[in-house]
Amino acid sequence: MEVLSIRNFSKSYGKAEKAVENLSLTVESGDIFGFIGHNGAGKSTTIRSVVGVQEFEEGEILIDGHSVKSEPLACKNVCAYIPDNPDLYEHLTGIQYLNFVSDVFRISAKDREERIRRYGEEFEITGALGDLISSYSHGMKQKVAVIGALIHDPKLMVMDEPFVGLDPKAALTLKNLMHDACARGGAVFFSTHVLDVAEKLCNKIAIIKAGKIVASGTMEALIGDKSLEDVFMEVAENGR
Amino acid sequence: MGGSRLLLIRTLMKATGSFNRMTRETDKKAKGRNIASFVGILVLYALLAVFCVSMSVLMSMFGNGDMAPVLVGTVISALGFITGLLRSNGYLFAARDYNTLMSLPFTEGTIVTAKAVTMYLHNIPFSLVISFSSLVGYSIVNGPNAATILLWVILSFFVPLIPMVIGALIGAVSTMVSSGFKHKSVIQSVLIFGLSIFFIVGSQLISRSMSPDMLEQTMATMTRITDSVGKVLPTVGLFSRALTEMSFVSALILAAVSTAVFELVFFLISRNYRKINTKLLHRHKGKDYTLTTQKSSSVLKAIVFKEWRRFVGSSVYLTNIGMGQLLGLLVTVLFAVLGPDAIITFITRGHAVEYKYVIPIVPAFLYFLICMGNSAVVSLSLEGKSFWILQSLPIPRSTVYRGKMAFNILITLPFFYLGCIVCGIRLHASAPDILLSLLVTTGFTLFSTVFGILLGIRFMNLSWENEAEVVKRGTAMSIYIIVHLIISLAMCVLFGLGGAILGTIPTLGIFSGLFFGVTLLLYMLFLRGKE
Repeated sequence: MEVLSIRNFSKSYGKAEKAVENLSLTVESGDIFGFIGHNGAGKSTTIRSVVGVQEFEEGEILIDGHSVKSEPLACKNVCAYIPDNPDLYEHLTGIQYLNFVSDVFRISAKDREERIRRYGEEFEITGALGDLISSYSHGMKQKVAVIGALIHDPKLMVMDEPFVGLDPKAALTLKNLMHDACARGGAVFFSTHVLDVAEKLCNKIAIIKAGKIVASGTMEALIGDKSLEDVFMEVAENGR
Repeated sequence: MGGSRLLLIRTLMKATGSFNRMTRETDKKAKGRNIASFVGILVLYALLAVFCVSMSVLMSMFGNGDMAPVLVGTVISALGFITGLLRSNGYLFAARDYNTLMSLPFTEGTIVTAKAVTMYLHNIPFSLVISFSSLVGYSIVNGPNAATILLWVILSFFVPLIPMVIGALIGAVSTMVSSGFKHKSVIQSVLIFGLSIFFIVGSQLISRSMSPDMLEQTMATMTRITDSVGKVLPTVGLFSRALTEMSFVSALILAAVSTAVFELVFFLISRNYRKINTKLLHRHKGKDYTLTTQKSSSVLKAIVFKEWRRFVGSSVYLTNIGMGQLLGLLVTVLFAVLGPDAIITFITRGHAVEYKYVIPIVPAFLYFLICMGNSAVVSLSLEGKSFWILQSLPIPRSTVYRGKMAFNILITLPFFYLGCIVCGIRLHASAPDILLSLLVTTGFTLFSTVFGILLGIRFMNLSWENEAEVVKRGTAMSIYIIVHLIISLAMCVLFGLGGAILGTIPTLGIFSGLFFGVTLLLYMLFLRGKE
């Protein structure tokens, strides 16, 4: 079942060259889909359009069968987004922020309490949830952002460089949670520069270069007996 | 109001207000600072309230009690307009929480109106202090009935709405037009300045074209002033009529129209919210940069240059701090083009004043305009999350402060000098008069800069959601503005009296000495606590 479908998506800023051109890909239920490319290749532009933060003119993006353009709320209801540098409300406490997100998604008091407790313990941040976010380290903010994303049990998690700033244990926890989400029928679409992580974690991958997909498919089919790093360097540098 | 909107308003109020910071802060030092800031604001409000009560009592005692609602309505309308014009961009566009909010299941209409309501709620206390304390003064002398008091209280919440919406609309249109350009902040600021001047001058022209000899008539009767203000600012007219004539129809119209206009305009803005933000958040790619010969500069120069780039890179910073310089320049140009007589007649509403009495007031008037904004007050807080860069540099912190002071002086002093020279020449001032004007304005600049940096250091706030929180609502800026208004008013009166009694040269000489002396004391205070 298709959870995310991007069809012929293009995005340009003004009259300048297209930031992304004619991009198509599909993320299905159970997929952990890695989106890799150089800085400025068009990863964030694509991700920001998927989650409805950014306007786009050409193409169509569907989340769980709903159009991002014409049914943005239906899409956002089943999607969670974690930006590369989450700017959380500094003057809220961690728990106030999580309650805010829970209220937005109308999570019952019982369910939110159970989920905050579970994720808080898994990320070892429960003790700090009463403190203002302004006092958190980057990693702690990232953990709160991840919990906020998981709290409504989304069908699609879209993440931009989610492992940046996380300590090794938190990174492992996040990987496990991504697997859990997929096992429950959800899907994960994320960008990363850490190719080792992508190789071990993802079942599908797409490599973007100068706004165009230059390689995509299942991990096995794409890399064969090489490493993802070799394939990436080959494709990204030489354009295969 | 929908549940989502209420939820978002509640959260935004918590996230951007001071209550959460005071109650939830665990660091005792930071908590103490937050509480001190809050108490400081309360003290300022108390001082403002005392001033308004006194003015209202005096006005009523001299038989002009009916003017109080007009004056209150005009002042809070002006505050509403300025709020909408200068703050709406900081709240609505390119805000730090844009990504978070847009990725949540909120409509753009919900986000825009919730942010507009938050902006209104943050700014309404200042207007209410003015309105309610004026009501107290009015009630002491006039003893109005309960219905009048109730109407006054309720309508005070509605009067600033339409002006705020108009200001926000001007800000949004400017942002929309400029968002596609590379130098969007500068273009946006120029448009905001231009449109607001067009709006203000336009409303003045409408006011003056109502009847050829209306100026004389309005000076003769207070009722006509009420009528004229009511025509230029219909909401003030409705407010005044509702209170002085107990017109419930006027009250209802004011409340209904204000709410409807608020909803309509922010609905229209929300239709373009994502488009504008998409353009604003996009960074234009330059041509391929070729590394050429680089130049080195002093540390101070480097900090000043960095500050300049920060200044012109943010429309909120540029419009709020640059507004004073622009008004100073505008007055200078008007002096040069129209001549002093036209300006004096305009300000005094038709009365001629001898030039010799005007000459000493010019520096004080320029001080009121040019020093209205002060980059030294806000530049430290505006470093925000980037403050670590300055902190990690191998230079004393005082050098950073000096750089920021130097920047403020550089963007202030030329406007003073130009104003003093042009106005002095047009007023046929003697060379010593002009030289002393330059000296006293140098004193003003140094004083406001050192005072500004001290406030900026004392009330530094690095964790803000939007720049407007620092530039307009910050504790440092609030204290600075109140002190600036008091000093400006006192200077205009004292310079005028001093000029008439002692003459221009002694007056300017005495005040130059006074300002340099006070600045020196403040600078010594700065040196003592610089690290």
